[in-house]
Amino acid sequence: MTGREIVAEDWKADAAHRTRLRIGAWVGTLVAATAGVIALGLGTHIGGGARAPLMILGGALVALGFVYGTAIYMRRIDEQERDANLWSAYIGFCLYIALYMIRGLWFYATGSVPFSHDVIFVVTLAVGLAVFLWRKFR
Amino acid sequence: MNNRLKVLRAERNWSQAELAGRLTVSRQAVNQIETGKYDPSLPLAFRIARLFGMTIEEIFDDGEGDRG
Repeated sequence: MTGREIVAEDWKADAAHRTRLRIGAWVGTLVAATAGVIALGLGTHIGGGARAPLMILGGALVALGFVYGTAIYMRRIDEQERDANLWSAYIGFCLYIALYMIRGLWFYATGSVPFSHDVIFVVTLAVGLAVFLWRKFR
Repeated sequence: MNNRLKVLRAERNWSQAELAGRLTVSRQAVNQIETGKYDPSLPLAFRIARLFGMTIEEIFDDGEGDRG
């Protein structure tokens, strides 16, 4: 193999290696989170002394999955996806605050609430995801 | 920002995915840089320039023209 061929193959091997690392990290995250959800589920249905340890273990595994997955995600994505995440988070956060303010002001003005906290949560997630998809794939 | 990335890529018969692999970014990033929807960071601009053996100014044009 010539020098040019070696250099040409290096980037392919590097890209494949990074893809394997990313996939491996996601698989590990999903396995940890799934194990945690199963443990939480078992804990809610099992009484006695096993309940608390299962709930704690399940919660810890889910949290570990989220934190690990986020850390790996932020390390592996490129700057363009990081830009999409930034816009998504910022707009989602602003919308979240705005909806809470609207809900509160409406309550003070009328004594009733126009929408629930669940609506605020779902709308914020949906808009944030839409912004991410638009910035990522436009 | 205007750029010659698509032309330079075509001259070497590289796909967007291949260029993305060489630059360690996603294909979407390459596509958005080529279409002017995303401006690369300085480190990425330098990587692009080194990959093609050119200066950043020879690849990217911010439209400000010659101020000299």
